[in-house]
Amino acid sequence: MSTQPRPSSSNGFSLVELLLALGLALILCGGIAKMQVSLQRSADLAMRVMRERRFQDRTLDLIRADVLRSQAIGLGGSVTGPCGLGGRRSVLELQTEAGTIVYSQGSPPSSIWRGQVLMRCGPAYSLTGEASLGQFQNRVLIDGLQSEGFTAQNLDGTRLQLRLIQEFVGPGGPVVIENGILTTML
Amino acid sequence: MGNAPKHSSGFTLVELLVTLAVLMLLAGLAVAYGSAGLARLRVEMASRRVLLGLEEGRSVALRSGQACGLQLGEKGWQAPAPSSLVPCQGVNVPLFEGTEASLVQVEHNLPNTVRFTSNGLVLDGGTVVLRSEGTDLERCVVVSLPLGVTRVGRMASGSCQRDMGL
Repeated sequence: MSTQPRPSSSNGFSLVELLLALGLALILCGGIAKMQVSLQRSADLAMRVMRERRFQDRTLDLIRADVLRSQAIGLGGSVTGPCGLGGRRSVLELQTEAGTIVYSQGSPPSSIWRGQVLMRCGPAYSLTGEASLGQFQNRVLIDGLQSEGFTAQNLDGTRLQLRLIQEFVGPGGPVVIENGILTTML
Repeated sequence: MGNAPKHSSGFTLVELLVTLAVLMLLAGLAVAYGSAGLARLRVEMASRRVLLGLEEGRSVALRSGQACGLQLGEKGWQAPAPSSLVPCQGVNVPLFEGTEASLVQVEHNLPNTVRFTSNGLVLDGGTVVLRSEGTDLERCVVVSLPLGVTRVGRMASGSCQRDMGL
């Protein structure tokens, strides 16, 4: 049996060793947390794009329903309708039994909306989802539009191409979301 | 048998005190940031549930092909008081879990019944504000009609401002 004392380093960890281990563990945890945050942001962005697409679909469906019930269509004329446009430009005017429905694009009416907004000055809806013959309302349909974010193009006198282009600030730069539908003009 | 050197028999008082101080510092940071983080999380979760209730009400109206209504009460989305409009069946979305109810305050200017049309339009809009003890964050959810488009922001200077992070 040896009578030599064991080296002092084998009797336990020194404070420096413990702090070093603690430091490395913290760096590792920080790296994992950063990766998780990055993954979460990507998931949030994907969810947001999906949500905005749903809003775009709803907006386009609503406009199509108005187009289908209209008797005459104007594209970007000077008609203002019964609502004040607040400096926004008219992009689509639809003459209906209830009056002229005006879609306008421009600055938002309040600070919760971002980018340019598309607003509808038209009759309110009843519980059946049909436009009533009552008072007109001017409401934001969708926001985040580029400067030419809503376009209505007469293709051949019988069909109308509606397009929406939104742009948002994402974690890695601007995110552009486009959508469009084709509708007939009666 | 020889004796081990004196310095290898354990930690010195100074070493233990330094370790204790570091651990206490870390624990203090965890508690401080943890409780504020939890309060923020509470507000964020409640705001998401506001959106969820709206989407569920709209989905029920669309699926059933029948107009229905919901009420945003102190605890969350629920069937409205008996009226001519049927409640959106099966929609009961609490804004928070268990004891968190006393920690989150909800204010809104939505009408008593938010109505959903049979084709999925939302006839009533307004702003919902959510606050919690332990955080300065005041979330606001704006509901726009007729499409039910929602935007989440934060309260500043008495109005709902867009949040660049959202």
